[in-house]
Amino acid sequence: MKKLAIGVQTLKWYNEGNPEESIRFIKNCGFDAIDYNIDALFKNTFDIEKLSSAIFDKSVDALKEYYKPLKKALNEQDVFVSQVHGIYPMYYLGEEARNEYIIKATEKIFAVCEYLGCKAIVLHPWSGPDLHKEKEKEINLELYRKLIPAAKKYGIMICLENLFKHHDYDCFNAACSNAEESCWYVDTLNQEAGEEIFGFCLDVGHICVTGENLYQYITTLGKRLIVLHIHDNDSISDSHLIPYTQMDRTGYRLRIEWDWLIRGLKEIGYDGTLSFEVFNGIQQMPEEVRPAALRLVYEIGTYFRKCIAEGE
Amino acid sequence: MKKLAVGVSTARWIDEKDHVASIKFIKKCGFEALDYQINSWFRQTFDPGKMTSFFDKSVEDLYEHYTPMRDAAKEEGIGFSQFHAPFPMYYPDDAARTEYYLEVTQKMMAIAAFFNCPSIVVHPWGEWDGTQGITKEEEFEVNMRMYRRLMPAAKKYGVQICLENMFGVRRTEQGETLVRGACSDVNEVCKYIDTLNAEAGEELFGFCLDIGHARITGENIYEYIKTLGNRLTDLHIHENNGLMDAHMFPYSQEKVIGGGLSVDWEGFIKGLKEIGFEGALSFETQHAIEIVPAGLKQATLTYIASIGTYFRKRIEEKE
Repeated sequence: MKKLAIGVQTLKWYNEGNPEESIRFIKNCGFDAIDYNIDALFKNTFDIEKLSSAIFDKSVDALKEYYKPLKKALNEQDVFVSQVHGIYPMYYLGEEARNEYIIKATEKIFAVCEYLGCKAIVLHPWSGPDLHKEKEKEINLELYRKLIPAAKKYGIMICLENLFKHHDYDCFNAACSNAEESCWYVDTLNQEAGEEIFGFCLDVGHICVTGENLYQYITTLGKRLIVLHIHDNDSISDSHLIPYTQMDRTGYRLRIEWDWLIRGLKEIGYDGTLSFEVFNGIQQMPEEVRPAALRLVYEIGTYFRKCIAEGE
Repeated sequence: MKKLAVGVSTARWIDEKDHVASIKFIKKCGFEALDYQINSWFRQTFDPGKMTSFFDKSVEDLYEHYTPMRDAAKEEGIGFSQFHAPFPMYYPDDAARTEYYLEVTQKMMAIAAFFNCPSIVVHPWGEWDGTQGITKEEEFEVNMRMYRRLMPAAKKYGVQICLENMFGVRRTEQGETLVRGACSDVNEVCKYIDTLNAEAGEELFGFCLDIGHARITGENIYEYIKTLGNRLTDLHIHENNGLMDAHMFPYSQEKVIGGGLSVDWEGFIKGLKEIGFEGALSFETQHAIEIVPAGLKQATLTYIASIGTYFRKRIEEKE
């Protein structure tokens, strides 16, 4: 797997019905890797009443058959899956049957990851409303523990992610907003697993809405940082926009200190994929402009890579 | 110059010490026309104490200075759609400075003609901060006097003067508020242009619609363009979130409350299509260039050019 590859989420440009064309398209935009939003496929096929999904009710073998065209396209275009975005939310308070279904579907997704050659899956921790942190931690540890055997079986690293909660137009801290808490989760779970099967996905946009220090968060995570969700916002809404487009309240200064991202990644020796999660930045523009916008995103990625690798 | 040429303001990327390399660079980014921000060079060289600048040179010397730039543009197939004059053009308490700016602007018109550039954007003056107690009628008279002064040079050099829709910043004890400024109201714009052209006896005045300013003052872009009709000659295409004049590229900013695209680009395209606009699709996205690292300037400009190409395609396509 290429070091500091440039990746992008599949949401808003990937055609589930035509993997060949989709992967050729994203390769033409320059990308080396994709963050496969399997969560979107789950949402589109899940029937809450029946607790069934036309896709995820399939056997692992049938799922591999389903993903054969994608695997072929990836091989042909020399694109790899750097990470898969798991189902979210992963947990619904008081809905045990639903939770069980999600766990089973996620285990099957691990098998899909292995089949596609993907080493990491991002699974959001649960952020409970009006609950104490200790209860939230208890629920999350239980949730992730259940997935340890399947993660070991398929050789997948489960990545937690820094989240936020919103109320009307304001965003608040949620599970893993704090870097020390994230380290605690990763270290505790790895200790229980007896090996390093848990890591972290740093969501740069979420850092912005919760007001954390991006550089300090990265350097605190250190080697626990496995994958990234790179995107921009105005610190008010989690907009998932293209980097270098959003200002602070002065209207003239960048809201996110992108130099801090570069400096932090460089200092911890990060060599994973520089994966963008800019689905709104893509969705809100006319379809004809999207390839050019994705090429700009790719160029931003190559700039980041150059700075991290060469110390520009 | 090509109809609906894709253009960009020279602010934040042009190297005034190496015009030839700059022209080659912007061609590589995909642009076909330039809005030469000659006012930036003026500002860099202007000494308000001595009332001197680079533009104290004779017109002949200025032609000589700009010859390599003109030749490079010709060689690369880059046109000049518009110049941007110094602003503010009028200083109520400084007659000498106002006079100097008017003199310089006339030389800039000569340079525009030298570049075969058809227009120069000259901002109308407005009651900028609300502290001077100027009425709309007085503002109109000041602007009429200012534009009248420029008529002879405009005729001489064959350069159209374009007014522009402005916004104001009203400063009170409660703080700053962005408000409508001179030419925010499209009917006021039409009155200016029609009155000035009637006085000039020819179509010497046109209009530069600044999309970002229109967003700030809450105008309906489609209606504004339709009302302007063929008075619309130039554009300043850029985007903001409605609160600050951020000069970013289209499709990048969201409404602060509720999200969603900040600017009605569909109304913009529809309006230009309906009035048969054929001028340059000129971007004034200098802040988008200024805030990216040097290593991303070319990629950003290339992306902006592709948005322009998209606009042109949509405007040209048959229903």
